[in-house]
Formats: sequence, structure tokens, C-alpha cells
Amino acid sequence: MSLRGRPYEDRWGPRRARLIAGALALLFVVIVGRSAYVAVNGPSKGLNNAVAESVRRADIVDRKGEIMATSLAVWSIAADPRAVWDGKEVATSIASVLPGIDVADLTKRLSDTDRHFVWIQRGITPRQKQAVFDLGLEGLQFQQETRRVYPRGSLAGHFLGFTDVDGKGVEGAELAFNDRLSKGGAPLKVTLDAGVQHTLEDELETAFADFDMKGGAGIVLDAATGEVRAIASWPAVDPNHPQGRSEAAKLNRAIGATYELGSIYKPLTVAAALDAGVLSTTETFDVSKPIRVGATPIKDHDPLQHPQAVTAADIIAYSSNVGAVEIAKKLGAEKQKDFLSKVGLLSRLSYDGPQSAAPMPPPEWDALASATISYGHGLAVSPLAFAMAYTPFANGGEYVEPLFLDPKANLVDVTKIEKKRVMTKATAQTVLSMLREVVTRGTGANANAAGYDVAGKTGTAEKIGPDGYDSERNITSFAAVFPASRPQFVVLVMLDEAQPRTGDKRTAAYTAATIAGKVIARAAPLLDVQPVLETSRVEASSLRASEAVTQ
Amino acid sequence: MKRLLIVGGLIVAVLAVSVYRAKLGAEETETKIEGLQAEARKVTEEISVLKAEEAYLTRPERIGPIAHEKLNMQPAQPEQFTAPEALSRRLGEEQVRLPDAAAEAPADDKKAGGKPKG
Repeated sequence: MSLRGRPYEDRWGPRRARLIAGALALLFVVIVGRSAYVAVNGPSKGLNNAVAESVRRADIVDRKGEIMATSLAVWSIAADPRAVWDGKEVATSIASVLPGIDVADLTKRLSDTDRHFVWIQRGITPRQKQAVFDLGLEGLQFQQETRRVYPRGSLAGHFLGFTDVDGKGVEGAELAFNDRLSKGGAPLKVTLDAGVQHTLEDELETAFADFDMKGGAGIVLDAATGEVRAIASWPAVDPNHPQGRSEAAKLNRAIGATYELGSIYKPLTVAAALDAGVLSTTETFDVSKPIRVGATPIKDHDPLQHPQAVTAADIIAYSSNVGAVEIAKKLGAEKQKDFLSKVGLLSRLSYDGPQSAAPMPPPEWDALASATISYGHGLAVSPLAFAMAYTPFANGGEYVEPLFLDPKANLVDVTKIEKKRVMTKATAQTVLSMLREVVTRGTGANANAAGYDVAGKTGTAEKIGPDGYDSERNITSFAAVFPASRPQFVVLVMLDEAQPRTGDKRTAAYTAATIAGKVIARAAPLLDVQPVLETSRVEASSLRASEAVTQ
Repeated sequence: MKRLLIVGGLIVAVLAVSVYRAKLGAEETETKIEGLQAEARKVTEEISVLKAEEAYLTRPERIGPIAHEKLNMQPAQPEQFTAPEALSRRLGEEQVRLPDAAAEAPADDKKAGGKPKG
């Protein structure tokens, strides 16, 4: 009997059975094939595979390996508004354990069901995360992230800068070295010394207590290599809480601002003239009367004792504006400009690190500009740029650029650091001895730190007001090299509108020089500078004498 | 021929099982490595936290006052430094004496009734 003749069920029964058996066999083959594939290739990693593992931002450490900035694991809370039933209830509950939450704002965001993701709070501690978790709210997601932490608080806050909430450098070293830090790996070793940095910042704080100033800056650097051992701006800033800083603290006065720094320029004027051969150390000048440049009279605020015949050393020791102008006239504007250019004061410095503000030269370098620049008015530069300009006095006439990355950690041979000769060795030594006289017999007596042979120069510059220079508002500064007998370090202290509470004059001799002396006295032992006291000198000489007798 | 095919098939099957077992073993090792790496990451994080805490606790503005209050320590003064060749003279100036042997006699000697020497 053919199939056509059978009843309907009988005709399709065997075919249906074969079809089902075939389908089951196919399914079995697919399952076995997939099992074999999984056995050989392993399970699919799914979404986790698509999420790139974040790199931990590298730490920043000082030259001795002390941690200045690090990254720690923290938690962040997010939510999917579509999974939140009552936005207000969730917001109110979260605010009960995270008091900083704006309930109204969060309610609004959680009620916006068009969005799939909203941040609630980032960077909370494990304890805070647990508190929110314990609330048992719907729709919340907890994500682990890293947060930048500065365990030493405000120490070197301006230099370090800070990162944004995504861990990207926003200011300071965090911004300048962002590419290197973002790659993770070994800590970034900078040239700062946490101990010296603390000393400098502590003395700037003392300066505020003593002088009621508006701001200040300080720098300590290794003259031989340009390594910056400490750099500070006052008021200080805590990079852990950058949003909370005051307006005054936002400005990095050591690097990011320019000032007319006053008479600390005079040694540069004398060095330029000595090097150009237009001045000798025995040459004398009459500074008894004001000097007129065009229509502008220039005078000395504190007349010198024997003003009819003063040498370059006297001009520096007692800070004679008239004498500096006389020397600048002999030098000429072009040579003066060339010299200041060679010591890096006419262009923005080039180095790896937080960038220095560009200098502000006069619009026209005429006779009046040349005269005022000879004693530090009319050319505004950053304190860092100016500190570097003093390195030739410590290096036998060679200029170095600032260095913020530890050379040893970066496999740089310190003996091969590029130095640029900007004056002869004789000129550098002559001016250095003049700077020493400033402290032993001149305006810098308050900077004398026993045993450390401080050589330096005071500078008092009037600030520009709406009606020209304002004699009531000063920038006082002290630039120093120490120890003069074997120069190693340059120190610069700059105070903005420092007014001694004791009633002393508001000049650098009573303000910046005092602070610079204190900084040197405290920092020198940390910098491994051996003091040479008068008693030691006597001891050493008598020892040498006794040795000579025995021989 | 048939026997050869059977033996060959058995060898292939044994090899396949061996490869599969080796793969399973590798996966187990990989899981173990991942576990150890996760543990290492956790320990690294803990070390980071401890280092940050150490930096926080040893910051100079905290240590300075404690050293002064508890140990009466002061920043080093220039007078405290001296050249090695001048040290003997300096010791002479300050009339530094060696401790008196009687006063410094060990407690055990006294207990034992020993007499001070010298």
C-alpha cells in the first residue's frame, strides 16, 4: 500500500519522526561543537574583557624618596535613574550618611529617566561606601577608582599642583609631568628635599607673623647643577583640597608671577660692567647728588657715609641707586641688555617642570629704562628666573638652568649638566666677594647666618599703583649665595608688602634679609653644608701652625 | 587494517584526552596566577596606604614639635659642627671627662660585693 493510500497520520508519521530526529541530531552536533570550542578556547570573557584595566598614576617622591603625592584606592557611587523608584527617597537616604550631598540636585538627576548613568559621589572612603551599601537602596552602583593624595598636606603644594577628579594633572608638577605620571610605573623623583622645603615654608609663615605681608616666595637651589631643593609660595595651598584655597593662595608667586625685584639687580649691573671692561674695582664714583636721566631724578634713599668717592663694592654694600645708574651709563644699554639676556632674564626659561612666567621687559630699552633696570625697576621677572641669574656668582661665571627632575633617578650625569659661561671667573669671584661685604658691612647684616658665610644682596622695589610707583607698597627681596668661601647654594626670598610689626623700616634689610638668614641657618645642615665658625678657623690655623713646627 | 585503525583511534583519543587535561591544568594554573596577582594588587594597595600614612605621620610640622616637647631636641646649631682634625682640641676645651669607673661599676659587681677598681 502506497503512502498516498494511507490515512493522513500514517502518511506523515515516519517523516515527522525523521525530521525531529534530524533536528535533535543537529542540536546535539551544535552542543558538542560548542563544548569542544569552549574546551579548546576557554570561556568567553564577555564584557570584562572590553574594560581596559586602569593604570595607577605614578607617585611623586622627593630626592630622598619621601612620598609627596600618591594614588590610593577609593570608591565612587553611581546610579541608573531608570532603576530608581523614588529619587527623593534615595537622595535623602544617601545624604544622611554623606552630608555633603545636595539633596535637591541629586533628586532632580535621579528623577531624569532619560539618563542611564549619573555620578552620586566620587572618591569616598571604604567606610563611607559601606555606610551607603548598608542603606540597601535600589539602582546604586559602586565602582573602585584611584584618588590622588598628598600625605604631607600643603608641603610643596604650589609646586606639586593637583589632578582633577579623573586623575589628570591640572596644575604644577602634576600637569607638567602628566604624560610620565599617567603611564604609572616607578615613582617620579623630583629634586626637592622635603626637609628643606618645610624649613623654607615654615620661615615664610614666620615672615607673615613678623611682617604682616600680602604674599611671599622662596627658592633654594643647588648652584652647581640647578637642582631646585625647595620652592615655595605663600600663602600655601593644600593640594588635597584645591577648591578650598583662597584667591591669594591660587597664585604661585615663585614661578607663575613676575615682579620688579629692586636692588638685587645691582650685582648683575656691576658684573656686566666688570666683564665688559668698562669698570674697575678701584674706580670711584660721586653719588652725593641725585642723578637726572631725562626728566627723571634718581636718588639714594639712604645716603652713603662718604658719597663723594665710592667704589663698586660700596655701591653694592650700601645699595646706591645713583652709583648703579652711573655704572649702567658706562656700560651702555645694548651691553646691559645682552648681559641680562645671557643670564636668562629676557626670555621665558626652558626646562622640564612647571613653567615659569615670561619676563616683562620695558617696551623700549632707552636710557631711562637702562638706568632704572640697573637697580631693579622696569624689568619684571619670576623669582625662579632671578634665582637662576645668581648661579654664575657661585659657579665661577657659569649659568645653569633649573632642574626639577632628580638627575640620578633619570640617569643623568651631573658632571655633564650643560653650563653656559656668561662672565669670566674673575668677575664672578669679584662680585661674590662684594656680595659677602653686603652681609659683613652693608645692608644685608640681618642675613648673616653664623658659620655659613652668606653673600647676598638686599632689594627693595616700590610697587606700581594707579599713579605710578607707590612708596608705601614694597616688594622686598634678598638673593644670596652660600657659603661664600666654597659656593654651593643660591637662596632667594621675596616678600610682597612686608611691613615689620616692630615698626622697623619696610626695606629688605629688615624683612627679606632676616628671613633669608633664618632659612640658610636651618637649611644648611640639611643640605650637608659644613659650617666654618671663627673658632674653627682659629683652631684650623693653629693646628696647621703646630703641624708646621713639628715637621 | 581494522586493528591498525582501532589502535590509531585509541592513540588519538588518548592524545586528545591528554591535551584536554593539559589545557584544564593550564587553566587552573592561570586561575591561580590571577588569584595571586589579585592578592599582590591588594597587598600593593595596602603598602601604598601604609606608605601614605607613614608620610603623613612623619611630616616635619608634626615631628618637629613632638621632638622638641618629648625629647627637648632643637635644630642643629653651627657651633655643634666641627672639623675632624679639630675634634681633640675641642674635647679639651669642653673638658670632657671619661665617666668615673666607681660610679659606673656594673650593678652585678656591686651585688657580688666586688670592690671598685682603680
